[in-house]
Amino acid sequence: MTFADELVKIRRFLRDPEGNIWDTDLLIELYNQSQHDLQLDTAALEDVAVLSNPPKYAFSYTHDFESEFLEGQGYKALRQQQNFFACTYRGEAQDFLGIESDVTDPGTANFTHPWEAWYSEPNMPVKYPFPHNFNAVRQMWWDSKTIDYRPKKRVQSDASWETRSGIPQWYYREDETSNEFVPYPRPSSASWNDETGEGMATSVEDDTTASEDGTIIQRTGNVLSSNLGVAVTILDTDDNLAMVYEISPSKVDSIADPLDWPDFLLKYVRYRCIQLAYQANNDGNIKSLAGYWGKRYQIGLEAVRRYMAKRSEDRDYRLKTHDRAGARASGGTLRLPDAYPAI
Amino acid sequence: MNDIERQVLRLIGESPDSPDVFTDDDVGMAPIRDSISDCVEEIQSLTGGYTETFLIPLVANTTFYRLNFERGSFGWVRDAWLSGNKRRLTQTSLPKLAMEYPGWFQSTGTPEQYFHLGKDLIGIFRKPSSSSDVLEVNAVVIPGPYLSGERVKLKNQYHWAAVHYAVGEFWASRGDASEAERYMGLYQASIGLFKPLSIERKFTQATQ
Repeated sequence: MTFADELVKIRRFLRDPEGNIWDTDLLIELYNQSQHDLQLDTAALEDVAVLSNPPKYAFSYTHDFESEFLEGQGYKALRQQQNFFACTYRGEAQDFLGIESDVTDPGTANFTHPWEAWYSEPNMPVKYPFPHNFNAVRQMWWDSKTIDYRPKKRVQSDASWETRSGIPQWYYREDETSNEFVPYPRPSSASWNDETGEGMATSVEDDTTASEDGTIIQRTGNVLSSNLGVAVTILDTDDNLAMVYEISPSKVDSIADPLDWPDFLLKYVRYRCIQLAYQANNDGNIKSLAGYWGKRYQIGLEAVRRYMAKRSEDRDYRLKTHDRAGARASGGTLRLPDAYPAI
Repeated sequence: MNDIERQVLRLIGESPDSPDVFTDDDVGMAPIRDSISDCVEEIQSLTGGYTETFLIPLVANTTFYRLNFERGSFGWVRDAWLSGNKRRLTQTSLPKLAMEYPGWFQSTGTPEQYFHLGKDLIGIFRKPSSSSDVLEVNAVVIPGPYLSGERVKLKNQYHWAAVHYAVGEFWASRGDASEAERYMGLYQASIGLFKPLSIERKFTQATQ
């Protein structure tokens, strides 16, 4: 399902099939806002991703202005002094001010592509990109072992935090905007097996990789059934960073863009979009219809909440007192097996 | 043209036998079919009235399985049966697992529990140590849009609800919010899941 399919339906309810009142750009913006609203109200979308190690970016850059000319998520390499200059070692900042370079870096090398860190002793931690539609982490694992969030200031209680390598125990984030995280310690080994390409590995055999951020989105080598009926895709998490995360719905940029929502929830995004369109301050502003679609959206929110609750209907609930063990406690007295001989 | 579609046409003043605007082909009937399909999706996602059973071959050391449906969408799991072990898997959730078994993700053995993630993912705890078993899952499936001549996967009891839904959307597409709201109220009353006609409720203030 693409936005083009939804656009036809939206225009039908707006009675504006030619886009004379609401042009496509406006509807795309309203649709993006509607997606955001529905996800905020219901948190219905979440996903699992397996992240490449070493991390893959679409490109590397050293100055902010460069990223504006490229598509996908880029890696901001080296050390930045805003857009003034980028340096490899800290001592270069001293040199720049005419002070004799005196400060020492913890490692011996810097890198412009993250994979180079595994071929040197890097003087910086390695950043990993979150998936492009990432919003928040639910749980993260390295090689099937949970790694938790830890604030950077706690990581810095280790004097060698910048260069420490080993088995990742935690991860930290510099900020929310850059859509990156840093596993700590840095994984001591990287997966080079089965990779193809020259220089920077560009793909792994049997993997489909998202161009934006290097996320393995499908491991086709393990697909067990055909495209017909129910196909099962396996997500391999061994020796990889894996995470369950809450999605921020992908922004629609053009009418050919695919949509993140399951088909049966798309109509609620549509209702909200039509409501917003009728509220827009243009020739199509009709309060009564905006009110109708607003109510329809509210009913939709209730429907989504009920659907989310239904997903737990197979749960077994049992009462327990506060000082008793949880679900796995037997609670009863010991019993001999049925086949045990009678006394 | 099925019975629901014919009834919709009657209510909006079209002749089902010789329709003027909504001609009996895919293009002419698209608005009405889209509305009825939306209604079927909404009712099935609320009631879980349509299920399918399918097999997931478990793979050694693999926790997550993404279900890609050729038609329709994955709703939720009704029951999960581990065929080889002849046992039911109980349902759990990611927060519950993390609380009760902090190292759950590395634990292998006979699967005991499952959980639902996102729109199309099932997670298994414990992940199987070998690729030798099959999980038989009975799950609610939200039907995709029906095509001309196909069965509408909706219980007879809800057929009038689908009619009201589609007629309501017809009036909305004609710009008549009042009629649209009236039919949407009838739709809500037909499925009995929401409180209809709340506008007629009387609120009174009670003293202590």
